[in-house]
Amino acid sequence: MTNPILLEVLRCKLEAIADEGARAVQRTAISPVVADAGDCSCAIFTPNGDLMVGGGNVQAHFKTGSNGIREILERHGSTLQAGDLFLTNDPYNGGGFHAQDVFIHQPVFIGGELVAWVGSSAHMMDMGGSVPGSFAPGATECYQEALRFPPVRLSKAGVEQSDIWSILRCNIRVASLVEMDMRALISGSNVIARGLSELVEEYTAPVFAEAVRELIALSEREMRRRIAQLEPGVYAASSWTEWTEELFLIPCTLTIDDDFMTFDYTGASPQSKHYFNSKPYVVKSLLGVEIAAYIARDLPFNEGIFNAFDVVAEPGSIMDADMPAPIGGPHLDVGQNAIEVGIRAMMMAVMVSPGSIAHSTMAGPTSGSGYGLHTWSGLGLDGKPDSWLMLEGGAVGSSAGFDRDGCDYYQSIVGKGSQTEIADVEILESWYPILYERRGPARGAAGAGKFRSGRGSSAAYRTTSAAPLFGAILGNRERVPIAGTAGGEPGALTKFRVRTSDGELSVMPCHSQGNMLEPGVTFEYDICSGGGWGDPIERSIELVEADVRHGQISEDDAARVYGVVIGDVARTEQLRQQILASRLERAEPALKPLQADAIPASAWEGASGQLHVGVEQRGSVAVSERSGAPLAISPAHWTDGCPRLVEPGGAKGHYQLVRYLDPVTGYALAVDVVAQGLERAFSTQPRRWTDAAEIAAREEAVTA
Amino acid sequence: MLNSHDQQAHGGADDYVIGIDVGGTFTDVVCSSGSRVWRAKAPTDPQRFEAGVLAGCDLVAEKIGISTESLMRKVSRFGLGTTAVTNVLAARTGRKTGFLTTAGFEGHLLGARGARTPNEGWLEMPWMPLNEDAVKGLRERIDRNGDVIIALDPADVRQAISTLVNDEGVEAIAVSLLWSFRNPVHEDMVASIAAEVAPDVPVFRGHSLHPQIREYERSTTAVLSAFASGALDGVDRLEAKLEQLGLAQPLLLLHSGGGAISLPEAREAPLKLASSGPAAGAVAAAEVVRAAGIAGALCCDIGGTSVDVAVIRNGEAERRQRAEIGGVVTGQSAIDVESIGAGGGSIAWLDSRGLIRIGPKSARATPGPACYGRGGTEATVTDAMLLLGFIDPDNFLGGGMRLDKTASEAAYARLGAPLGLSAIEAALGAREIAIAEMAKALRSRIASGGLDPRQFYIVSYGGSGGLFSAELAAATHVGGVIAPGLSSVLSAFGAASADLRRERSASVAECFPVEQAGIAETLQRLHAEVVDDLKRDGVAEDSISVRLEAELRLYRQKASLTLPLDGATLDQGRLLDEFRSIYADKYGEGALMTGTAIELSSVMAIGVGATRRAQIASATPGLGNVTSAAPSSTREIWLSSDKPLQVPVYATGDLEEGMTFTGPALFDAPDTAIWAPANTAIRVGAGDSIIIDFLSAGEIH
Repeated sequence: MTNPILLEVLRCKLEAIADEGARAVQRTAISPVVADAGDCSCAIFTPNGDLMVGGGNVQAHFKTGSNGIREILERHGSTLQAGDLFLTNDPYNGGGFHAQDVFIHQPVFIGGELVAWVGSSAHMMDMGGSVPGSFAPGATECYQEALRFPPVRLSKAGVEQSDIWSILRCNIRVASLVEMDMRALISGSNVIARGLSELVEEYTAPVFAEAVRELIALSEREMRRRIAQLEPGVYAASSWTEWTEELFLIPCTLTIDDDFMTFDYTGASPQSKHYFNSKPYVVKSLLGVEIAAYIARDLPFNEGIFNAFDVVAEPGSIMDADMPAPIGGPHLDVGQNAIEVGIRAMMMAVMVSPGSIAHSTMAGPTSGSGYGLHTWSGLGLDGKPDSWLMLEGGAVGSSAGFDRDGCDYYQSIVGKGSQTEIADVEILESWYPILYERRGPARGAAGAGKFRSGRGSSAAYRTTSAAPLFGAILGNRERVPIAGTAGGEPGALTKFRVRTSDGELSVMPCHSQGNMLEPGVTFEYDICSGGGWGDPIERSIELVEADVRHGQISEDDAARVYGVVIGDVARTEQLRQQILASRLERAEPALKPLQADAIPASAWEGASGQLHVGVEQRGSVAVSERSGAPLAISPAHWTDGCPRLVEPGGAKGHYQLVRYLDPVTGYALAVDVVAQGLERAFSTQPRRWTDAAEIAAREEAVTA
Repeated sequence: MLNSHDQQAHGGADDYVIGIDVGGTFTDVVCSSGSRVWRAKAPTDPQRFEAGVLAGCDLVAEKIGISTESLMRKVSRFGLGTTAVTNVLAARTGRKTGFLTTAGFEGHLLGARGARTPNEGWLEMPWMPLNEDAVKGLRERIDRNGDVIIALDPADVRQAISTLVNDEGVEAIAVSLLWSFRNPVHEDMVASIAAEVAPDVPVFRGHSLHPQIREYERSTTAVLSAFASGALDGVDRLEAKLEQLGLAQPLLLLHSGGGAISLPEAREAPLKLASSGPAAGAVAAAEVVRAAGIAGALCCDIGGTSVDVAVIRNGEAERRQRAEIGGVVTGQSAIDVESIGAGGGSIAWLDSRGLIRIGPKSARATPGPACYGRGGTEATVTDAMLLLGFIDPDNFLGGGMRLDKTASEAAYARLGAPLGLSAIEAALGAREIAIAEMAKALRSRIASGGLDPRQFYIVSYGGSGGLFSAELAAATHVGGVIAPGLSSVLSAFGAASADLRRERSASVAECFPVEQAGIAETLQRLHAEVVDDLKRDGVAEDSISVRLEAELRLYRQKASLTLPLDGATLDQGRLLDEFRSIYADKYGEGALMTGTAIELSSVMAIGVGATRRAQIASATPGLGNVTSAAPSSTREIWLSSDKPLQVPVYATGDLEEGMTFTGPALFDAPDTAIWAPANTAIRVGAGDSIIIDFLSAGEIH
């Protein structure tokens, strides 16, 4: 092994260099999305495209660079030269998340030898296509969405290829702005290449390469050790991406086998005619960040993190689309649904593994599948055409944690906290022809639980321009909410509305373009949230009363959802008991009711442990912890013995809400959200549980 | 040391300039008169900080040989750096604060624009001293042009204030409304109604504290000001006591921006004192840099847990417009001091991969490093430096504390064992990693400022600064190192030397060409306002100088450049040329495309009142060939694990301006040590500064 001191010193230096690059990009870019909100990243890769280190705000971008470098190596591997600069932005050919995420890749040579790659990327204000900003939810083929580049040389051996700039400038809007931002990426890339060259020369290329290999191997080894802390087995979760009435199934089956995790999305809907078709490399990049937030937040974020898990998807499915399917947001709706179900599945493994490092930050899944980004274009304040992206629609509320309410305006309750900033009202009003009537956290009782979800953003604004504005909405979670965890209720939905001066409200669909905002009408939105944690009946009275006082929920909500009568402890206790009793009365019987006296004594022997929050495995029997009621015998799923309270969800019954109740007390052990006739959208099958029956049978045979 | 003074700045032979820094443990006092200087340290009483100040003054008077009363009568300037506001913010023990804002936007402050703070894996809301129950919306609205589109109803205001004061029990109120910097009429109305309804409750208005665009910063500034408004009680007591003793001059308080303000001004804007301690150090360092005739410097104050970094350019410490205070972005301008990386108390530990890491956990003062013998057993950076010979165990803090080298050795033996490293090897590694961590932080600062490090020196101070600076300079390509001779009382010296300084700014946000007359009017107004401010602080009109500045940026870009203005009438062509040339200098010709709109984001007037102040004499010209001092001893320093190097040690008391040395060498000061590695040239500069230059870049070991 290389000297351990050298490894740590080198890690510091690599991080310093990557950070220098990102800071250079942020200082020299001019579009607010990059300069102000910091939507950029700079990463360094090994000669074959493995991630060494990343710098900048958008950690999820770091790994996507590998995709581009591997594509470049395939196409141009034999002709690489020092001074080459590659541009790539096509998710089908070595790109990042979508066409607007432009990557600049630069090979770094020392003495004629390729020693590393630098990949810098940022979100461009426009990359052409049918609508300003290149978010084109109406597109049905990728050709309509944006100008896409496979890896092409912007500079060849240090000579700028002006032809490429010409093609680019000719095909995009606000070309000068985009060119400035792309040149900022080049500055950042050059800063890194310079620092890296000095570093490699200091250590010599062979020592550097070996040390980097070991740094990656060390992260991988530790990552695998932490995965091995999870109960091996199979954990599954499903959710749905929407396109008006159409639903697309995103199922994830997580298999934990010793020290490796496989997230298998087999069974996902076929690829669609909509922008949200995804790619496995996109999902892997996103998933790596979220997994790391739970189990590897202290580890250097490099290829080693990604070597410990894999993402499987069927070609031709919505998770791995082929050309010419649109691909304008593979990291948005479907991509975010995929992360959500992946993390939900992993959390089920964490719940049953008290020895896991993630046990101290148990929480519901990420809620990015409810983003409500929207764009506008029209005449700006100076009377000239302008177009912009309202990033604040990305401010979803997080799912709740096991011991705390969720985080407002954030898709996750764990992580590093580097989400892009919401712009001040005054900044937006000084830049764009809009005037806000209100902005703040979305109100209402959705996402209820012992701990409630965080709140998404909510606002109302009107145009101050005499001419109408036109825009597109890329939203999700308009109909089917994100389920809660451990008995928590599902989260809030995303809504866009227009209110005329007469107060007449009309809905703007979550996926739409060509929306018109006429002068004088008000545009309103509510961004969704993740679900709550635990049964709302268990929420402390004090917290419920504070929510009422702060206008978060009404007194009626407090009574209906939480069973709390404001200022009256005795009546609250009474009401809560009534609600629990009424649930059991209204519930459908369990699929396979289990009587305690029907269980052979031997079934209680053997392994024990957690099966779910509130459910314990005792030998081959699953038991509700609260009441001691037996629920199922291995290998049946623990929910089999729970009475089910089934309610139609949404105005048109787009989904069903299924509450799995403790048969004795009526507390909800799990609240499922299911659609398209699926019976259950989650399943937790640790091997300890599924094998219990077999082991018991074998032991019985021995005893006999 | 402060061996001579500029006659103009501080001429009278029989008057005294006093600078005081109230730190957490000690209160430092610097007193100078003519060519003489006295220093004293007294323990700080956290409950009654005036006690430490007065004790320090007594000590100084005793050293001078006069009574405290006669000293006070002859004081021509009394500067105070105080952590009173810092402490209230750190301990979160301020006044219960109520917040009034535009109805419909009540959540903007607690929402913190989506910024979240990681803590043990979780994401949490940034701290804000505000209970949601104490936030009330007022129905009113002013638009981007400053036009009232919904008028404020006084009855609503009365109702809201009465609820806050009577039901919520708030002790101070912050009011911050949308676009109030364009039209303050509603905020002013709230303040005057509050004065009627609740005359004992102080009100802080967003527009008067920070008249700039972005409601979030105006609101945080108003709320934190209200919260910290009780912190000055101790200063009031001190002023009364000093007056009794005969002090005829007003107390000058050092503010975060590196200038001094009067007590009444501090009462109106208490947040200005939030980070006056680090600012004082940077002001003094700027003075050191000026005296040494160097253009730019990176100040590295390496303490127990972090490196505090500030940048000095053109003889002045760089400020930032939106300083972070207690983790909250505010509108307060301040010397841009970033706390980053590792310090002496940072703990070396083995992470789960089996590699040594440094920090962020620190042993702090208690239990402290293993060698302090106060119960700490973990290996810290200070332990490594002791073990490697850089620190003299018998002479730490001027011999005030004996260090236990065997404890350090045991700690490092434990750390190194799993890796098969000896204690010395592990300590060498810890030192190297600590330097890499500090360098990372420094590089990040250099990169975000777009600085050319070769043009800079590191000014090192703080307990551990001198031991790391040369290696840090090499790792970041900085030209050299200056260790000021007065590093132990640098902040107190800063309080003695800061100018009286007032700033006023106005948001413009117009693209060039801008409307000439309007800007000129604004600048004239700001000019007149700072002159008035300074006159109110007791400065004679002929001692006031005013500088006008403009902030320019590419249209909607975040980073801006500050350019000096010749007068209220803008030479727009010159400004734009200057902007383009500086921009291209910083980011390269390719970064700036012709045709991009350039914006005048704000204008500012900075008034400086010339007062008596302490200064360091400039370098004596033509000084050379001063005989070098003989080493007082030699010490074994471990730079590799084979065997230690015999390094000459010089006592700083033996040094004189003009002496030269070559590295490797150690310079022992009473409270710190300075390490000059091989391949460096060392000279003693003005004010007993030790200046280290590299003989050939990057070749030090």
